[in-house]
Amino acid sequence: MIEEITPIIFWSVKGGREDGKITISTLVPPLSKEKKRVLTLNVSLLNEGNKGFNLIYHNELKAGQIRLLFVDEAYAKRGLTSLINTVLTDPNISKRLFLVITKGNFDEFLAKHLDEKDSIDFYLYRMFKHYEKKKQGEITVVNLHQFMKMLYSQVSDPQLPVFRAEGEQLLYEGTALFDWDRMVAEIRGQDDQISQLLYRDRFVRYLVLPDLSVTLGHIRAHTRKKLTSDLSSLSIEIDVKGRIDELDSLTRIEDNFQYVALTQKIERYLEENVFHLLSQMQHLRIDPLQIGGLTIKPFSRPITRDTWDRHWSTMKINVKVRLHLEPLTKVK
Amino acid sequence: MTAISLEALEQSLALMEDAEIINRQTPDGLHFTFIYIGTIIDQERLNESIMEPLVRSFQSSVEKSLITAKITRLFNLEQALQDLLKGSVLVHDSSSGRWNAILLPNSLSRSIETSETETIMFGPKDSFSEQLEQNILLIRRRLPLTALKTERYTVGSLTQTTVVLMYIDGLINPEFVDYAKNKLSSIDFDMFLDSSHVAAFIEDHYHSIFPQYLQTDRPDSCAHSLGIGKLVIFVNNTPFALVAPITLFHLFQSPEDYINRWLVASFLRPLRYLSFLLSITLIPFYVALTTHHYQMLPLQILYVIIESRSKLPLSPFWEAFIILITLEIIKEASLRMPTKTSQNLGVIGGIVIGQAAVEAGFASQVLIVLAGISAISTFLVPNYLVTKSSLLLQFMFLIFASYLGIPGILLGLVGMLAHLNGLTSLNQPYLAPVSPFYWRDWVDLFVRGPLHAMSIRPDALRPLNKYRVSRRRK
Amino acid sequence: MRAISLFRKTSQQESGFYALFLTNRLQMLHYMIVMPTVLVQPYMLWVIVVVGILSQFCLYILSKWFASPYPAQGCQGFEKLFGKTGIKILALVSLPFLMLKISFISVSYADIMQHFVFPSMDREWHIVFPIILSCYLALFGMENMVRFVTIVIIGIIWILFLYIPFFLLPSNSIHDLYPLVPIGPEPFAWKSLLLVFSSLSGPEYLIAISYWLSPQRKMLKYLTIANAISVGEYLFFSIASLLFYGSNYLPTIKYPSVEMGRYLQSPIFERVDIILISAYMFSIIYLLALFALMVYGASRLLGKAKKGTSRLGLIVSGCAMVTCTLSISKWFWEPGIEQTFWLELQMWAGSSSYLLLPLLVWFAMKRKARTTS
Repeated sequence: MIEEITPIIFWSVKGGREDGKITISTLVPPLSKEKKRVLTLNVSLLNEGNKGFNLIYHNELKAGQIRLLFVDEAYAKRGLTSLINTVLTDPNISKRLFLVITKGNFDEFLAKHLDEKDSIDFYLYRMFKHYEKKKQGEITVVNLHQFMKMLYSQVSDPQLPVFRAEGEQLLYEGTALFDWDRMVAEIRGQDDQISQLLYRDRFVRYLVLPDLSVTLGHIRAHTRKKLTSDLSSLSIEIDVKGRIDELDSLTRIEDNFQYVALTQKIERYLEENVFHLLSQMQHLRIDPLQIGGLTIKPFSRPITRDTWDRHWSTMKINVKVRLHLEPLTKVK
Repeated sequence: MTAISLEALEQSLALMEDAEIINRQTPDGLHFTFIYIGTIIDQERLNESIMEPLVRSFQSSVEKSLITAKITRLFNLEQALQDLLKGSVLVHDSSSGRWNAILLPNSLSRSIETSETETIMFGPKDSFSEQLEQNILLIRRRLPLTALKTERYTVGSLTQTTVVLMYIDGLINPEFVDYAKNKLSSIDFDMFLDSSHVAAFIEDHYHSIFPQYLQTDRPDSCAHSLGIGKLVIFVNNTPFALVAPITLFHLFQSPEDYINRWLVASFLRPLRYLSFLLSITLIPFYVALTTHHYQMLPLQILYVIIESRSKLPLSPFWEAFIILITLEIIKEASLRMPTKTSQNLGVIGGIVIGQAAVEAGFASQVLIVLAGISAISTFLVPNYLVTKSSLLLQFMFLIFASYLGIPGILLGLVGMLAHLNGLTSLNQPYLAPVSPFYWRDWVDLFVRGPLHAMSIRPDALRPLNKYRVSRRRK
Repeated sequence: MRAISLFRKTSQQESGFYALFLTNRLQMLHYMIVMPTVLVQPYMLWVIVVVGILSQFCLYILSKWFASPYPAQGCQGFEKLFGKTGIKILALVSLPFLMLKISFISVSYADIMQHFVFPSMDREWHIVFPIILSCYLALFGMENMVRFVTIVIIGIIWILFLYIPFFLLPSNSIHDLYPLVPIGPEPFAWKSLLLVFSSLSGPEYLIAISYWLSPQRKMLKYLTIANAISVGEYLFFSIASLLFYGSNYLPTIKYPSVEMGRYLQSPIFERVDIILISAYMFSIIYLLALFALMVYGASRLLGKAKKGTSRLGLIVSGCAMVTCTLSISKWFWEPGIEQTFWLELQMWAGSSSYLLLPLLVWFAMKRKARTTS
């Protein structure tokens, strides 16, 4: 009967205790007018936590509507497989579960939001849903299905968004990169924004480049990647269409030459950044951009992970950025 | 067979104060006896068309004197009494000693009015009345064909109701006519006061909640049915005629379909099917979701429902059951109440009882809204009998839903479709042209195709003359 | 019980559409249960096409049967071809095949229902309810059953449109469909050919109901269209699941079609897969009813067929089906070895009946033609 259950929206998982147990927290009751509480338990297995929650709350807590899973960074660095497997075995949990890596004290952040009329858990869910729908390159939004698909594919690696809990706020930090199921690196800020461009057909609303004192807006990027057949080099071409939204007041664009000069400067800057990003990935031998997928040809044998790692770490990368910008004011 | 005599007639008509026996004498000394039942004959015309010519200007025989009247020779008492009760005047002239019956019925009836059950905005507004002859007149005006045959039957040992079977000969499949004739001839009951009573005896499956004869009081839809190869049965003293053979899909057709533009009508027809389905499955769906499948509700709706249900003492099934029963009580009561108060009942029922139920904690707001939508959807179906049947179907689906959830609703749907598949109307499958599959008839099934596309009569009716347009050769 | 005729034929409608719809439904029986789990490699898509061509060959032989004068004569036609003892042997041999198919389908479907829809209800109840309803459906007679297939098609066709969004996801890439030929470290699974062939089997049972199908010369056209539609549907689902999961993740998913249904989101409901599974029940109930009538007919042929058909007889056949299926479900359906055993058995049985039965009938016709000429 529907009124006898309380579906919960998220679990927050944290490891790192000395006795090897993990801590699970959730917020009850979700979305209703009663006073909210944070329930926290220390358990060794995840489902023990689910059951434990049931015994300390008056309704049966059902996990069938769980939508968000917050995993602490330290736990993510150890490997997510056991956690994901537990979540997968419950047939009620949907594969549209959003996975998020958190830094900082998430429980404290929850505790600060207990009295609000607008429930924080539902608000967070709506935020992720909004960004997933919009397909904008603001936040990386990854759900369980996408994570699993990337995990299982032979030559690519998954990634997840990272949020930092600071007092009352939960701020987006960047994207976490994984090697198999362990978190190995994180790209933040500008790097993260630029990496968003590297996916197919992304739309980024603002790209702030403080080093060049310019902000690009409404960017549509179209990326083409080409691998040579012996897998020795990769050429990436990015067509970026957008406009200049903001310019440092000291620089003025008066005529075409300055405009072209600025464009070229931005192009070089972007190329360097992309190259640097990819070099980082090469160094870590991870491939979150699914470049390995390009190696699969219709009539040839798919390559193994080791072969790809070998080629990827020594691959030469050429990046070419072409920028088509509309200026802020009319240019002669 | 008893012979006719004045004494026998007087005995039969004893204690009937409206029966009159009048004796008249001509100037030549001939005696005439007139026997009639004053309430059922046309008194005005009696004097001028029968008594006047016979008594004043008798020509040598009754037949020669009354050239404009229909005169039947009577041979026995039973026939005499039968004719007397149908509105005839019995005339006995002493010269020949013969008894004759002259039909002079009282044509008192309702004038032609608008149909109250099937109202349309645009189009003909006349409807049948209780007078059989008037109804046949309305059809003959629309189909001036000698091929439009009418055959008369009498049913009911007490009521002696006249039933007329009407069809277009040469167009309709003769199997239907023979089957209907067999059924009509084998009726054995005493009273037939309405066409539904007749339908109950000539239907193939009287246990089913789905009607196998369409009851309509609109002459235009009857004429349309006759024209595409169906037959119509008129019953005296009731304005509703029976049309057969019908399918389930004909119950969802409205005469306005052919008057609206075809694109508009093609939108309205699927809307009717959808609303019928909605009316029988919306509340069971709610019960199934809240009892068994909470995971199917999106998060926001889930919490609204949990909030509204958390204060209720009853399970979703009983809550829905009580609300539905209450709605039916209100509907039935508004039919029976005097007109002046029934308007208030609508207001009382909708606002006060519904709101009070929510505040008292018997029902949740969501369910009241759904019950309202479901009740209104029921009325989109043009056929009144189907509207009433959907009530029972709703309860059946409610029970299935509360035990088995959504698979239960589906089991109920399959069962209902299986039952419909097995029904026949005039021995023809009830779900044609879907099952059996006649693809050409689909132009007028879920959508209403343009009239230009309907150049062939429906294959499901297997008419003798298929083509509706003149150019084609057979 | 009043003796009614379950196996009479009253309508003279000559329409090949029933054969088309029936063939398609019989062939699509396995789409949720078995496929496309076994077709994890992208080159298996060609396997579907190749097996579809083989299936077309069987249907060609079947159409020869329909074009002959024997089906229109019903039981007498069979007697002329096989003789009275021949019919009894055929009926005896066909009963275990029918029972196996019925049990396999019922228990697999009940498994899915229990896993996704009602975990708290015993699997046995998920078997009993559909079989009860299919007996009710079968009580209306074979003629009504054959006509009912149009309603089943209407009730199921919309499921296909629900899967179209999976082709339009932005994370799809054509590379999920490569490699197209079986060069790989894994050996080619020959068993999958057999599995696809047995999934496309089912139309051979049309021989038993050919009397009600009003066979005509152009039957081959309808059967070909149905086969093409079935192959198209299987390709559709397989490509959708390959694009969605990728060929490495797909082997770990037990029922991909249902899981994909679950991923769909609509503003009104979330778990669309419950509706999909329930809608699929329509097809299952219909085919179980058809098989129930065939079981009853076969058992009547074995015994004395003097008395008219009766409802009681059909109910007894239904009870036999329930008993057989429940006993398999309760004692012989452990996940792992036992389930694989039944799958393999069904594979071999389905493939052999699809290949051999039309050939048998064809040889009988040829022999008859030679002896009479």
